[in-house]
Amino acid sequence: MSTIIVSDLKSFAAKCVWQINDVQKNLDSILESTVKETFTVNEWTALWNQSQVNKEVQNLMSKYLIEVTELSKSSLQLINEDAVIREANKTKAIDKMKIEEDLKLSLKGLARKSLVRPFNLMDFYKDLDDKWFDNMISGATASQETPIAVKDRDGNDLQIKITNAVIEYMIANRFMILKVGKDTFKQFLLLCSDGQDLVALKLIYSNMDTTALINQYKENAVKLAEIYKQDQDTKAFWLQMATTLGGKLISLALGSII
Amino acid sequence: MQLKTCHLVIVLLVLAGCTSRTKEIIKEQYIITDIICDRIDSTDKQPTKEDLQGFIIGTRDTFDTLKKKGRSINISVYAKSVALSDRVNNKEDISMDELRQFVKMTRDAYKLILEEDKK
Repeated sequence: MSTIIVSDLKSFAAKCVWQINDVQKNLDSILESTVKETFTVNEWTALWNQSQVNKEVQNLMSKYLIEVTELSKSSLQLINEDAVIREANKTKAIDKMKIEEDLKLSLKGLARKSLVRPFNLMDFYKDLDDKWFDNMISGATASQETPIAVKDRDGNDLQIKITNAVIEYMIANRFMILKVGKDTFKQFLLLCSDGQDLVALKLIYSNMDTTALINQYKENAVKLAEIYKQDQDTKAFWLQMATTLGGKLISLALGSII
Repeated sequence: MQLKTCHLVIVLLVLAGCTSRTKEIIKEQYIITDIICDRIDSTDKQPTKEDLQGFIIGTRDTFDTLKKKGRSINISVYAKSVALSDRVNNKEDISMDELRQFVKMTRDAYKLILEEDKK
């Protein structure tokens, strides 16, 4: 249903070509006495008909109403269009931030996995083309049946299988890997597979701005303290277990002697 | 008895997990410090005074925990981090040169810890 926006009414009244005192007066009194910001056409008509104006003025107001309604319609349309555009831009910005954040976290996660189990994915994309990602995944999957021969840093031959965890990671993060660009991702994997985990980590962190880096640094300090506390709690738990067990053994031994 | 063995295994696994995670965090701290050092020397993304003050607090907290864990740390860096963080908390002024020097000292200290971990 069409609505009449009070601010539009006011602006229309100010520009009104027929400055009839009665109209202006009644219009002002209606607008002043209401706290509403919008009216439906029917509400507005009913309100206006109750006011003390003669027939001639009411006819003029009919014209006025039609124009105001049209004005409101176009205003509303503009407002709605603007809101849609703004909402889309906002979502786009949030998506971008989320993707970048997820990417950093995922790459960090992959770096950690790689530290535990070094692998060499570079053999899968000697011939990089548009389907480089699919080739990489199929190559990684095939490696579970037929291990791939690679050389480690010292030139020794190795037979490797790409673990399910890494393949799952790559599939789950396909979009983000493509987004970061194959060159960066290739460089990252190359560093991981070559055992240069510190340089790989640096590659991830070097994209962050300085304040975000410092925040990460402070967060790490907090995490370290939490791990230490957890470590202490575990040790205390184990000490208590050992004391209980020891006590029971001693009492059993004493019982058998007696 | 089986329950006790189960507990023992869980405890050992948790302890192993803690050790590995600690090493990873030290690596990350080293990398971040290294990047901050690079940025101090370059004209791009130079850290602000507030950034470096945050760095001091983070360093003190990290070294506090490492010290409690009984890790051998560079005592002069630790002492400096304590002194500087007290000055930050008291809102005293610290010159950029002093801050720069501290970041570089911290990087070297992390490097030593990482080298010790490799042995």
